[in-house]
Amino acid sequence: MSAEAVIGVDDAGESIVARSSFWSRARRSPTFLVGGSLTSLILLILFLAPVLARHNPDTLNLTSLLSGPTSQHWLGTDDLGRDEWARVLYGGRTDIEVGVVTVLFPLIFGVAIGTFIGYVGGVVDTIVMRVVDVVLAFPFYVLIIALVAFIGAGVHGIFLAFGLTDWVVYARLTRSSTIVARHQDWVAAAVNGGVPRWRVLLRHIIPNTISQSLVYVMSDIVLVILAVVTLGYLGLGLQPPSPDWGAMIGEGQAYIFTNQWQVLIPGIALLLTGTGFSLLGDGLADVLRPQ
Amino acid sequence: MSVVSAAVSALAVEDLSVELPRDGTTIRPVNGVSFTVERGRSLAIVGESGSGKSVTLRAILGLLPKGGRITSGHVAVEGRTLKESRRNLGRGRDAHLSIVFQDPLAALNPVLTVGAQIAEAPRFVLGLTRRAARDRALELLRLVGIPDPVRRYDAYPHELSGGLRQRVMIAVALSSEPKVLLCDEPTTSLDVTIQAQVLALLSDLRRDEGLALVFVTHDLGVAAEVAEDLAVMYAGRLVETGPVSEVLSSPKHPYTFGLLESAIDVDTPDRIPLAIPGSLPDLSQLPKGCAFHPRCFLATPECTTTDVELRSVGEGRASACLHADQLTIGTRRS
Repeated sequence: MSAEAVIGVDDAGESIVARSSFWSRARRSPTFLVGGSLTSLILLILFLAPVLARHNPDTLNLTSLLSGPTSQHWLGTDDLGRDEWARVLYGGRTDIEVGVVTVLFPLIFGVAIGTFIGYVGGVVDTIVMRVVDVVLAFPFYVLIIALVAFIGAGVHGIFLAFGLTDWVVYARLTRSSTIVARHQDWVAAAVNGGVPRWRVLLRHIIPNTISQSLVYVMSDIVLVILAVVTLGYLGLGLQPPSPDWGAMIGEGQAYIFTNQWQVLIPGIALLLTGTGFSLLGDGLADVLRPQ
Repeated sequence: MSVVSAAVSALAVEDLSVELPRDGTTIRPVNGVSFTVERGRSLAIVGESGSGKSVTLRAILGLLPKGGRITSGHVAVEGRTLKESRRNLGRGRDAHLSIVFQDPLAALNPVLTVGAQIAEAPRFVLGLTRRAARDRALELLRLVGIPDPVRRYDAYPHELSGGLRQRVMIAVALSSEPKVLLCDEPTTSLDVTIQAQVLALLSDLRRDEGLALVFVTHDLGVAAEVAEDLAVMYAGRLVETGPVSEVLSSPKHPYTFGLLESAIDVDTPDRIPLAIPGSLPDLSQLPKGCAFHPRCFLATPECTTTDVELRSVGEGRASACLHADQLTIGTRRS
């Protein structure tokens, strides 16, 4: 649907069209609103964790092991008597921090490489795209797990593993939209007008190609969080005692028949976070679609 | 064409030929095209779709599609020959050429405000400060007749109407201070009242700023309105050139004659427009001799064998027809 609305006619007989800013379009996208609200709410709660937690996530309460929800422990305790509510909050903080920080390098590097090869083309493009194909040919988890196992478990392993592989997705997305943008008349007009190449790339091409990557980065954060959680479950993720949803699910697994809480709580937190970011990504796609 | 002034032409194109790959073969959409445009004057190049008129403009700017090649010719702006390379005769500000495209929505960056796009060349090419570039952009917006330029400076292209967008496109084209403005059907996407305003604006710019205009169109009415000189293009070649009023009143090439016959004339509503029989030939298999002979009512056996070049048929006029003298003023309207 066009965001244009003719609101009048000016003195030259030309239609005046209403401004449709980012926010006015955002307000009309239910997906964006729901995703944005859910994500903001989760981020706010996690940000306020020190205030909301009421307990230290690492403090053992040996008098209350594997308890259900009580007035003392809102979401119960785990097998070591640690407060589940506090652990979900602090675990989420780490997971989302790792998720967001991890995608930054792939996003920036991938967009830069994709823009470059899309604009220059030729042999450089062919070589880089073959590297991209090789990385994409591997099953994602196999590659990540292999790399983390090789580099070493923990935050550094995750950063490096994703840094080495994840940029290819952004490079591929950006390359194809750069090739389209490069042939637009406005690029021809700017180049012809003598505008320097760096500026054509930064001001004319990247702003037109970045939206796909910004949309994808939202799903990518979810993907990384899931990967961190999966690695945590496998024991390759963040190392104890720092709380993390994956480790919580892994630890809770032993008690799944007697005390489902311990698996369900981080699971639901993960689900809500994933839904929030995914909807936000879809909503951004609606809002950022060029007019 | 100007004998009085010894000054060099604003734009001189000589023997320009272009090859493009198509379906496994190579076609030649522009074939030995030469023309000149003086400072403050305008030339309209008319022809059907596929006659090579747009490719001519793009070749001058070095904007040929992938695989396209300039096989011969050179272009000089104000007497200075543009640097030649395989695909690129001239580029950018050095060439002092700007282009106004047909579809202003495709020719403006959707994510930048129009002000930013107009101020870009002044700031990054002419080296003005941010503030001076902004002032220059506002001045250009005013020059192209955009009301309330201060408010429009911050508008995005999609927020403007078609006529305003085309004015913005013209302002962008002028922002690099060109000597020659190439216009590729700049009014085709506009409705007629806005078209008239934009044509008037281009004529004003030519007169007041001394710009040389090259205007590509398929609309003889537009050509008559905006241009002083006319060049008719058919199958990659110029077939007739001359002052626009003379060419339109007494064409010296049967193709021009056919174009005029096929146009609807509001002054003589009873006259039935006559189509030119046949269609534009496949550029990969051009007929031998004159490319127009299979569709021509004057064609003789000689036309199927002789390659006809443009030759003078009177003061300032040229035609590429062996039988140009058979077309007299009385022929039309008969």
